[in-house]
Amino acid sequence: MSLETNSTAKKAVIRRNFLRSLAAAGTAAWTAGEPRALAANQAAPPVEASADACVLIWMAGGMAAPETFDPKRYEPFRKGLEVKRMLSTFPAIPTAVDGLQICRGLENIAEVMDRATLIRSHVQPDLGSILHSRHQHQWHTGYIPPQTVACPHIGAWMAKVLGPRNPVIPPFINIGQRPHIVTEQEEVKAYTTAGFFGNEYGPFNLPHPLQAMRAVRPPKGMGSTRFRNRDVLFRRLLDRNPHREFMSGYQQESMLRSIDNAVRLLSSRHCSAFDVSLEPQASREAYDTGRFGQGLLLARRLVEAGARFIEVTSEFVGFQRWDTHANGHELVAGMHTEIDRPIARLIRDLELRGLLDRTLVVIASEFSRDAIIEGVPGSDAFDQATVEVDVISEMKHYGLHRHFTGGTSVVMFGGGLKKGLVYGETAPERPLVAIRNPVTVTDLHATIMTAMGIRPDTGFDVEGRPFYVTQDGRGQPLAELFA
Amino acid sequence: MQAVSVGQGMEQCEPAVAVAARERLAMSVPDRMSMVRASLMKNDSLLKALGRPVRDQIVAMRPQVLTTLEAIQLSNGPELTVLLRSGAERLLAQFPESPKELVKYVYEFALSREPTNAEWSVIEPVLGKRPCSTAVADFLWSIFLSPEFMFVR
Repeated sequence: MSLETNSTAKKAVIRRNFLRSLAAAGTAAWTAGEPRALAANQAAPPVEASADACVLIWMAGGMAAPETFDPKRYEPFRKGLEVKRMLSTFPAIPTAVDGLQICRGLENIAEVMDRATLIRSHVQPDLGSILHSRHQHQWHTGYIPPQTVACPHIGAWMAKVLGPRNPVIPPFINIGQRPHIVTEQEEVKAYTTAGFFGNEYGPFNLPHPLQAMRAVRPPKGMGSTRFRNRDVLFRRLLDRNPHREFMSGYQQESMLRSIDNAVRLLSSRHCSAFDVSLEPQASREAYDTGRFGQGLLLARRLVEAGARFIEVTSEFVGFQRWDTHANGHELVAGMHTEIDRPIARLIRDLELRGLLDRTLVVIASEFSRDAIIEGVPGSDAFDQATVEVDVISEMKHYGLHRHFTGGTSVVMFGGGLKKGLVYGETAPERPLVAIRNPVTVTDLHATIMTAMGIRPDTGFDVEGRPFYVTQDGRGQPLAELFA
Repeated sequence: MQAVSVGQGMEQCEPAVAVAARERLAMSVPDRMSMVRASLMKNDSLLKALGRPVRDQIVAMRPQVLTTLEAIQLSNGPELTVLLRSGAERLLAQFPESPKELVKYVYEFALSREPTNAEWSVIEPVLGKRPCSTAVADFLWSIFLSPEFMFVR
């Protein structure tokens, strides 16, 4: 629903206005309790979008910056190495940008870093003992849990404020997180939601990229002819329903429109965007390093078809993948292999198709990792390392096994941002905290939202209280990042 | 929005319904329990599509409208498809000879009224003289997705 439409909502609502706003709103849901845009939104000048679509590549579990985009002094594995000497377990390699280095294992991404803005000074708040889901909640919604209302995911904000780009493609698509695999499953669900905006703006979940097509096909065992016939029967019965004239209430209109939308999607040619098997073999192979790579391929097809916001997660699985509590070096080497080729390919593919300039791609994680420090220096966070040694005696001791919130890397491509820019810096020696231009989640979100054309102080009235897209409406976009 | 009530099913219906409902419970209940609280049901994607919130989130109100994502779930989700198929088979066993009786029963059960002649004229050619379970399932879908069934007036 557009902000203009919402602004009139304070007037007495008469039925005709309802219907008119519904017609204007397209797929919007208009309920009695729906949050209303704050009047202040109208007074403020709009920001001009530099991106139409956003792909969030979520490195779930805490991607260690010193093992990926912010290499530090490299210490190769050897028995007798003191853990406190260990900063990076991968050596640095050059990139397409003079003087910019990232970690070995990311050779393909290194070649496209001249299209990137790299933030090396992203910081998270010290929330005491670290729970991934609390930081993930803050990163995805802008708010530290618990809150008195269910906070919308940033994808839901885009769905709500901007709406779909292509009406048949759901505006908020969430790829790759299997709901039953995670250790903090209920907590993950708590931020993978539209919160108080209501389900209309919630995620269209596609946990299995190769099976995404099933989500937009008629049910199993039902051919397209039967599906069409069922719809015809439904409509004919509606027309002949003796209560048809009473079906103009907004709930019923909205319901019928939702069914229309569903049928339109399920029988639309745009559905083929969900089918990665239609991709040429060579392209499929280029992406296919597993479910993550397949998810990026699906995301690229959906951006082409007109998706608004897509999250592709490397998937959060406690103590595995990026969540390295032991054997960190080898686990991270595996993650490098999984992400390097498909991410670089996504950037090149978007560029080739002329889509990169208007598509903001963000690679981010809930925090970084360190060999020694849990949280930040001085934090009372409880140490969660599963191997506690001071001197390395075997491979499983080699890696960054503690959660670190003082300096994290974020990589952004396209969407109107500068190319080949490095913003912020972490210390060269432990503690590897941000020493220049620290960037909070709030300001990072303000930057992402500004690129998408959403003011960081955009707010809605929820149960009589204002609630903003960035925390308390205070996010400041990083102006230096914009081209 | 009004979902198929499990309470009703447990209370007054044939064992077949009770069994179907029982499979959707998150925990076992005594055989002779007359009502089952909604909170004991598994919160599967069908119930979410009917507006049930995630339990550990604070929600001050239930959504009052069906959303597109929910409509997609109701249009192609496996849970409802399976339920409709088994319901269709049960109804066919109950009314093997007379599609008209079957339709009348469904209208009375779901909408508390009889079908009009105009409605019957649409349904009759779809079901035919000896309807198959897919035709009955599609008929049930058309009834259950109608605003008249979904909204209590």
